[in-house]
Amino acid sequence: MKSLLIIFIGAIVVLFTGIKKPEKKSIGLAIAFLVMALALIPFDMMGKLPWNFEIKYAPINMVAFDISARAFSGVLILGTIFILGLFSGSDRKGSDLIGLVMFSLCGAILMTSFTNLIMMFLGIEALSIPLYVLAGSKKSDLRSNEAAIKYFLMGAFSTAIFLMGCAFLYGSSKGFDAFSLHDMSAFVGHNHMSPPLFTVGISLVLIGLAFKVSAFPFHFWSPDVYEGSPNRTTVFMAVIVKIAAIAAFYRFFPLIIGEAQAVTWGTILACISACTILVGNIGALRQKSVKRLLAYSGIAQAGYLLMGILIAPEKGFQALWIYSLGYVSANVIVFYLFNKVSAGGDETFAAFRGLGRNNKGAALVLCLSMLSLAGIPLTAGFAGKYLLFSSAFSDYIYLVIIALIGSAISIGYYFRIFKEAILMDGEARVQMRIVDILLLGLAVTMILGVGILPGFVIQILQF
Amino acid sequence: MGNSIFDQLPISQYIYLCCVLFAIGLFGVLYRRNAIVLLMCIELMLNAVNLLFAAFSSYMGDSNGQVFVFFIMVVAAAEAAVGLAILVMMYRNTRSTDVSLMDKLKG
Repeated sequence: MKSLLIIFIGAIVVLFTGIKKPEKKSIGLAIAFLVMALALIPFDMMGKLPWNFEIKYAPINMVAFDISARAFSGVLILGTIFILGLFSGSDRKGSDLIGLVMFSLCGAILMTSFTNLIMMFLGIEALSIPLYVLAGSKKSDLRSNEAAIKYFLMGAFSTAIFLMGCAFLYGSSKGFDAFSLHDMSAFVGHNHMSPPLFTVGISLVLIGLAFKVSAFPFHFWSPDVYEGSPNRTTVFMAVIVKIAAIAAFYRFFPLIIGEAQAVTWGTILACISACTILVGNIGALRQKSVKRLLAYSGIAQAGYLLMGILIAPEKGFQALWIYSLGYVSANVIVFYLFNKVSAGGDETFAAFRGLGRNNKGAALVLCLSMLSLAGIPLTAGFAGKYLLFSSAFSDYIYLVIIALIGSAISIGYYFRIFKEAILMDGEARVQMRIVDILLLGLAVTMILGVGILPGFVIQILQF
Repeated sequence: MGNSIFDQLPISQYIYLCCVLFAIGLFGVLYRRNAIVLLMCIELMLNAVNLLFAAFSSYMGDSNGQVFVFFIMVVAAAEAAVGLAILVMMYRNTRSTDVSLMDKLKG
């Protein structure tokens, strides 16, 4: 709660103190607020674990900052610090966009910590509405316009579906806080019923969430929106929105799915996850634009992340946390280097040509993050995938096999970037500032640290 | 609930009405190409949800549902404001509100 308030106040302060200054100047202030919020996370209000419903008469708060909420909001705040620090090239007047990024982060944190469908809805909207503006922030660029209008229509449409689901859930379970939903699902499971209102409600809410995560049947908007948006917004969508939506999914799914129906809904979610992995990885193979490739890779990663929701709460949470740490740092690095080399306007793979000769350090960092995204050992991506796959292995063996096939396919397209950067000759060059080097160093440390000592990183959660 | 309105008109009728309104909005979003009509269809979907919340809330004698309706109205207003701004931006660049003109992004 404290960190959420700090970010919210920070967003207002940044918005108003930065009206006349160039955007670059307010980034320092924004990052100071975010670091403060990050430092306050361990002291944040304790709450109950969402899967522990023994304490019946505990006061029901609409948000609870339990361990999973704090862990995921830590990742989200860290990701935003990376994004604001590394993508600060713009010199336009006014810091409205920085303020919008921070408002959006508030929504993301609500999505990790809700215990009530109202808060979940407000979180999703607070995350999305600033992003519609950010996607269209290049006002005279037709591609940016198109991304904004597509993202807006898809977002509003999915919100309406999500809300219809909420209304059905409300009608069937007489409330929309965690307790009444959980009571209802336990009741339904106990009596072997399938009340139509409740079932339709669950399906509609899951469809609404699948839009946000960009899972299989509802993934079609994401490549277009990623390609058209400005680079900073794209990386924000790829990193923050995806992790926040997965955290919301992770919190919502065990509430609503009682033990008796876990098999049915688990199978459905496993099918969605398998299709998402295959569609994302196969779609990525035939892309020419790097941003579209990363969008498809993000779809595939969403499929892997959905596996974490299927497995038991505690194990799944650890696996998701490790995976999201690796995902955030690797994606931020790739997008940063892409942003630098594509400054000339070339957004295909050819933009990376010659990076290995001109900037050995940058090429090395790029390769490391590609290895992490592909899931090669000693990187965070491998640790996350290992935890996910090994815990899903006993119940969902076919899903794990499909996920392994997907990982094998993914090596193909990640190594294409790799090859362009190392083997081809070209003009790609990256000018890094001290801040950039520090932040990239931190990201690399995260990839290697989580990859080499995942057990130690999980220990951090026990504080 | 002795002489409540639900004696004359059972709750299922409200559910059917809201589902029909929602479906009209949904098919409107899928089949129309004018951005302003799309916005109106999304508003129709949201209002169907509001009506359903109000009906359930009154049926169960529970005020939580009506609180949710207020939140939805506020958020829908914010969303419409941003959506219309995006639409104006699009109109300035293309001189049209037809979303099928927006096809520059392909892969």
